[in-house]
Amino acid sequence: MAGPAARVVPRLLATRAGAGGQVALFAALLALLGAFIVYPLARVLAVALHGPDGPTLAHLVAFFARPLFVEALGNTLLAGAAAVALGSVVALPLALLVARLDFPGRGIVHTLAVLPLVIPPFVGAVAFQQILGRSGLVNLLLLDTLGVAVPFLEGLRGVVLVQALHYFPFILVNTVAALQGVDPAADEAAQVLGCRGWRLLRRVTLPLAFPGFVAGALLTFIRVVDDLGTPLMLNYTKLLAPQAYLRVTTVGMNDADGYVICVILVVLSLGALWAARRALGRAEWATIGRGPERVTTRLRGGRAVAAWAVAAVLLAPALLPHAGIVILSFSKVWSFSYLPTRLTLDNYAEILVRTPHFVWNTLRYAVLAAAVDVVLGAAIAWLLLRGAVRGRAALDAIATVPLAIPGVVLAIAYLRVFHGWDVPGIGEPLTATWGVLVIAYAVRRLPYTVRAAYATLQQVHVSMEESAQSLGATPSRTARRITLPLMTRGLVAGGLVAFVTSAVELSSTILLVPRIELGPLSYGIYVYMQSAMGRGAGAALGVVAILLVAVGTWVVNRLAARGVGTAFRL
Amino acid sequence: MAHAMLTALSALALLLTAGVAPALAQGGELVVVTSFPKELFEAYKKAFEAATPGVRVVIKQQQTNQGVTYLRETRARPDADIFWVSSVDAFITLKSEGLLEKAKAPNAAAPRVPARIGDFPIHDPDGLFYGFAVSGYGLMWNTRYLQAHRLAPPKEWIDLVEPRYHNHLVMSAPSRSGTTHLTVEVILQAYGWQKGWEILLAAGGNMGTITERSFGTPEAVISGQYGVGVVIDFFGLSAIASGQPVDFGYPTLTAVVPASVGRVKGAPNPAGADRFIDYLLSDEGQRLLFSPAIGRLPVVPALYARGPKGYPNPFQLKLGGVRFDAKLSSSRVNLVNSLFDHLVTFRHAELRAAWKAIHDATAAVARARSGGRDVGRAEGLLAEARQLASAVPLDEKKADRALNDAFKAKADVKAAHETQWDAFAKANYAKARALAEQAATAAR
Amino acid sequence: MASASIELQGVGKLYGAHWAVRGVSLRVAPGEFFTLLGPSGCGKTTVLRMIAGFADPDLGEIRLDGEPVAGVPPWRRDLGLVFQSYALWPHLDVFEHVAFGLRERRVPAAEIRRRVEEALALVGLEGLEGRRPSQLSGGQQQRVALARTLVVRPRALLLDEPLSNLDARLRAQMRLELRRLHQDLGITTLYVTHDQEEAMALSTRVALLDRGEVIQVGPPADVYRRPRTRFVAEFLGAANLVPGRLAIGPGVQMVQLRDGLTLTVSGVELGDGTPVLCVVRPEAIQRAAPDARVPNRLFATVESAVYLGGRWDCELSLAGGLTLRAQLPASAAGTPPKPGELLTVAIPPEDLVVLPE
Repeated sequence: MAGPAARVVPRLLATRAGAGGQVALFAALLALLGAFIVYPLARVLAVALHGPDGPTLAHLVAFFARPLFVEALGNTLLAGAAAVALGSVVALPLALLVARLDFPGRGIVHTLAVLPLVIPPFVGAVAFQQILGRSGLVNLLLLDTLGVAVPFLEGLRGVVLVQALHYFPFILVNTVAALQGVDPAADEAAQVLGCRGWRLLRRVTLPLAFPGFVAGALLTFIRVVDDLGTPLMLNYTKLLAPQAYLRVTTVGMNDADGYVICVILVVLSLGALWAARRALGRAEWATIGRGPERVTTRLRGGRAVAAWAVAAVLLAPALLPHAGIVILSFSKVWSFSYLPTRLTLDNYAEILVRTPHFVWNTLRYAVLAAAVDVVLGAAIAWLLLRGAVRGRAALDAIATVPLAIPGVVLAIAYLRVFHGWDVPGIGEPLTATWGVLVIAYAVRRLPYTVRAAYATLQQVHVSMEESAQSLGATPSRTARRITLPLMTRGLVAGGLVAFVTSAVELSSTILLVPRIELGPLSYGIYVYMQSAMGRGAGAALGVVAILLVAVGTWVVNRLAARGVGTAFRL
Repeated sequence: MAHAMLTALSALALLLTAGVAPALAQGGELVVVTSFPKELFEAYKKAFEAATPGVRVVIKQQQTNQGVTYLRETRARPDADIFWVSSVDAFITLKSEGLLEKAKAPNAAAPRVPARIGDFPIHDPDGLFYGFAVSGYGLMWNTRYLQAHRLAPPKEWIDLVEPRYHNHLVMSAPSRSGTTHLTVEVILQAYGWQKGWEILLAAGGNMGTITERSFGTPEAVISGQYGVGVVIDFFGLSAIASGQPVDFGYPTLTAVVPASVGRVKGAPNPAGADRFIDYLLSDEGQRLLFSPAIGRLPVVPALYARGPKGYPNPFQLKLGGVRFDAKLSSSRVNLVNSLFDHLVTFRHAELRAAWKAIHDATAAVARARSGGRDVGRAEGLLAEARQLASAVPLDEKKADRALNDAFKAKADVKAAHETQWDAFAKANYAKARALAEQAATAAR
Repeated sequence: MASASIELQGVGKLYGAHWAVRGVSLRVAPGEFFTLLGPSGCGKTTVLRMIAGFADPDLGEIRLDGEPVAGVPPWRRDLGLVFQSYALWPHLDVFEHVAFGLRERRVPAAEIRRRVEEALALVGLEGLEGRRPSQLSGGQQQRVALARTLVVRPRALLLDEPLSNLDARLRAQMRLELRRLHQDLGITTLYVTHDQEEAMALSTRVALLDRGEVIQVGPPADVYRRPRTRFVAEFLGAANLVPGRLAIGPGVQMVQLRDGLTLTVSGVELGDGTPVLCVVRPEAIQRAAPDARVPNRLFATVESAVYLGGRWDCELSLAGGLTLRAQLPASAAGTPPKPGELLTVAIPPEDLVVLPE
């Protein structure tokens, strides 16, 4: 029977010990994110929503009255969808290959499949042009043999092609993870009922992997919508991101149109993110008991070769720019010919002997940014999944917003906010130091590590921590002995993504680099690519960037095995 | 767990401060914001540091417009000493916003450096910036490409409207490239507003693409993606010097304008800035311009006698008929840039398609005429199509400083005009194409 | 560490607008094996978690050894907890699992070694120190979970459905082991399960819970023989529930069933004429000679008979349409009941339980 009618007092926090610590952590995170994400973004919004007579929606309304902008919006959505579709054509078969088949060198295929994300800007586009451009290798061949040229890289379709080949790894990794997570019992139950082969794939396997695929597709959509580099390189400006960039850098920082476009970009990206969350639901993927045994079919001999052939056909187009960059790095003259007509090693001498600082700077910034992101991501994920502070979901939302902020906007916002303010004790504004680069990278990549940390922590079931606590381990001892070790792989994988994408970041870099000696690889490439002499050296730097990232990915792949996927996932 | 996180965060914060500390501007540092390519600024940095011990040159390389934006945004606490770009317009803009200050550069004085090149003043009459090199605008072409497509290189701007060059040309947008903007202004001033725009639009219709960076154009020609590009001479000269299969020529109707250097207002190192500017204008500094990697033209005429053989001498070039008015140019820079963008850059696909149709129709009409058929109606349609594809929606008189400034200050004025121009372009090009296609059909 | 008592007084827990646990008062004596039994959603796990310290009661008080534990975090309650999922840590081997609690208590290394080996021997896992959880069978995993809690000698052991992930044979085996461990070690044990066989086999006392409330507490035999509500009667073992009306006369108590059948009952404390439910356990129905003078003699027809190895599970239909499930012993000598056969059975009155309807 119910006891005396005592009042049940609602609490702000669970009265678990450590509540004070939670609040402190929450406050610290909120302050950090507020200072480096919310406040600069608010300044951007202020310009977009502010007229000469005060706050107004007039700019937003005016946006939709401009056919050019509306077309840009339409093109952006179209490009996003098309890039996802085309990317899926490459990613899905590869995902099946990697997730369901076991053949020698599968790990290499997996690593190669991640490389397209690492196309150093500028030089990547140049390489694409050399291979797929109007007078590139492929078209020259076609002209000489068949007398036709295919405009691969022209207009919107060129942008879509490059973006699909650039971002499909997101779809690949998420689908692979989903396929690997599918309970083999589901497949087996269907097989017993007579369904196998392609039908099994179509009716059982793929539908079960669908949520993972959707996550990857939406991530790709967001990246495509925000992509600035590709449209600029291909000189196609009827898209939202390049329009925003053009407005802000040409007309000036007070051009409301540019900021309105930024707002719309943010809205689109956030919408896609929300949709992705819904698609994935709140499924708990706790490893309770034995995990599902991986169901893979071993392939040897002729069948393994066939698998390799399929992988090669799918991966080859995506790795073309990398091939182009390598060739370009050894070339002195490569003009209107299949291959360079004059080769040289001077480019490497130039960059390795005369400008090694680009490489060191990149390592320094990217590693620091990744470390910051891993710690922040773990902290936020922990608060979200284990904490009890009310309003912690706001942290998740804020930490995800950078996905939707174009790099150039962030850079301008930082310039605006931090330039007039001296860091206490230093006597210099933040923007005069390389610290601002690390912060910009960390902020832009934080969403990935938060996702990775979240997914990883979800797999550490609460009961694992509770059993440790019941044995006498305080929450911090539990974290150190149980939670963090189990999260390591996922966190490292998340850090890897942050590292990889920071190493070739350009759009914020270009505005925030205080001086050339402090520039990273991407900036070095930009500087070199400003003249005819520099193409080769720029390409050589590009090769170094690719190697750096490829080696890093491979190393982490070996160490983290399963974990790499979680970083690219939602 | 929370405590562990907090400790980790603080540790990282400490690490980061290491990044914040060392980048202090020391006494002997000179910060230069420039849009020039690596070959140029590295050469000058090395030479200047050798000639001026105790000073370290720090380069911040950005596109011209971004550089201007940067100076604007950091005006409260300037950290740059020198602004060093090709575009005079940028300097005029900075000057009008009070972002430059006078520097002391004895080497800049006349008669060593003449007051003008052609009709263009080399230095700012108020002494706020100095011309240190001059450049001409011209056409660069890829010899292999032209050979493969059996085309002769163009000689004059007006050649660019020829049907045979359709889809083989490339240029960058004036809004993205200070140098291209000046080229566009040269054409407008040389041919007049109306006819100038006609040429720009017809040439625009022949462009294969409009590039986003000024280096995009020479890059496209060097790599052989397109046959002919509108470029500054040093792009051409340096490319030729590095062995690329390209060639370069000045049209007769060109302007030679200076590339300038100025001291930023509130520069942290004014003495260093002055010495830098003076060095650029010294004999040693000027001779650096001759080097093949740089390929620019000194402003000290006396040095050409001892320069490389066959090097163009702008003081002796017969530059026909363009009395370039820099004030006029800068008084309408925003308008010209925006017009070009909305008439050409953003509607390029439509413009190109319209001109393709016009070229095809012209050929069809010519064939019909030589076949003795009556082409009156077709010619009428064709003429109208041409007119639509070359029309500019802004009157020259209206393109004044007031409107130009409104473009910067009043977003709604700008938006209204741009919307109108965009609609104008879109409608016109669609109609032009339709009419041309009709003309072609009528001529059969 | 000596075994502690666990006391709950008026404990309630609110989840949103719904009371998951309501007014629960219990006392587990030191050394007792106390089971919380009930269907899923009845709140038994919530009670366990509150005792362990992973949830706080919204009403009432919990005491361990007489001391209130409000505000004491789980890592200071000195309790052992075994989860249904075992919650083993993938990155640690068996040795480290068992050593975990000892390390937290700063036990010196040599002693850790000794006690771990002792604990492993106790649960029969010697030689498996180096294995990881993924290399163990379900039963072995469960023993590791047990060993790591036992090694620290907690003052009470909390077990949340630890056997439900095992197959039937293993479950029976582990039941015996658990019983043996409890008898050897004498630790106060609070056991949560929905399986009434386990509850009956292991417990000193059983508490039945339904929808957050305690329905009945007592030793297994008591609760089984004298269920106080229909819920308890149906939850523990099989039961035939026969509705009828109580008729009390001088020196005699009877339940009048439909269609004229009556059953003699005893020890009922309800008033005459009360509508009641008669609980007839299948095993209480015995064969009788057709002319035997025994109370509650009934004539029945066998509808079906299933041989369960040692007993027959029969469906008997009586005059008037009543169907009873009966368990009749199968002996080599007796004849097996055949469908359609007429059978005489009798039910001892003391085996009948009468509940108000």
